[in-house]
Amino acid sequence: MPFKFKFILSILIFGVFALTGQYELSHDLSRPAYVAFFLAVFMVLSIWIFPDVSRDAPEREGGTQ
Amino acid sequence: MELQHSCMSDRQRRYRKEYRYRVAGWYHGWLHLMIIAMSGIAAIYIYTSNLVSVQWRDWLALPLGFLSYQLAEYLLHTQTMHRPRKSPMLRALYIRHTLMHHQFFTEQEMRFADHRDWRVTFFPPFTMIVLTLLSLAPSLTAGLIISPNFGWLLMTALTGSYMFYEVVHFCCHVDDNWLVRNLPIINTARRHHQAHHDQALMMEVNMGIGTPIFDWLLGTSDLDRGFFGHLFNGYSSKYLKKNLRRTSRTPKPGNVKIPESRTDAH
Repeated sequence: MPFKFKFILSILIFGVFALTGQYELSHDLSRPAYVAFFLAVFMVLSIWIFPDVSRDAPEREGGTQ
Repeated sequence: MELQHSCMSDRQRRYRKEYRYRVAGWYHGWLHLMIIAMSGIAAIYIYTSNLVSVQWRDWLALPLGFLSYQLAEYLLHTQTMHRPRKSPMLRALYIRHTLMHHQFFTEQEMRFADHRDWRVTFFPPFTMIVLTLLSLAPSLTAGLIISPNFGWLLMTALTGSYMFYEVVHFCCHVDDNWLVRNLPIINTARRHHQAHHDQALMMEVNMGIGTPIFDWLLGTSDLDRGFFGHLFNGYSSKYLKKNLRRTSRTPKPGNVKIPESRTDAH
């Protein structure tokens, strides 16, 4: 996935879950708030570390494309 | 690693080998599954924690969300994953799905060889993020107009439907066993989806993956029977349509330019 796309998604997800966490805290729901903060970090980390599929085909082994 | 006993063609065997070569060495299918499950369960926990004094009308958000997801999945599959579009992003979806996923799995061989092949079937983690962001507008609107409970339950239904889709699609590509053969919905989906992987039918037939509801409703199913018959058809081939139009096969990969940086398949 292109860097720009990952970056925009990361900002959006941090923003959304920060607001969600604040909303939860304002309603005395501390556990869901912490889960929201954790989920934001977890989701963002997962898109940055998750391996993309390489573009290189094994030509010497007889690739199909 | 490849399946030892398989009737797949040499072309499919070569493609599977090539795709596996492209997947990073440290990819682990169980880790991928854990990321999807943890994200989905945590998100649903947050949404349901906000429910207070739920009224009967609020529960309607669950079937509404489920059906909306089924329709969205059907339209995305029909209109972009099997139709090349001018937009680069939509065209990438077509390439990844029709030219890659449908080469990796054909009606001759639908099975994973091991957990590393799950990369071809589970969507990457960003899908849950995109789904969450897309769910926000309708859920916030419904929450403001109808009730906050309705909005939270709509988010729950959409996230749950995505997880349901991943489970069902995964079950379509595992080896046959007693459980998947006898589990309602799952056994229906397996036959339905295997017929969709027939390259002569895949462009128009059995486009729903989680359920065949919209194939039944919009006439794109390969079965000639009613709603409940569609849902609980299982492996039966008794009601197959006899006059299905067998459309053109997968476009030759050489005829479509594949962007070098986009080679995921789903």
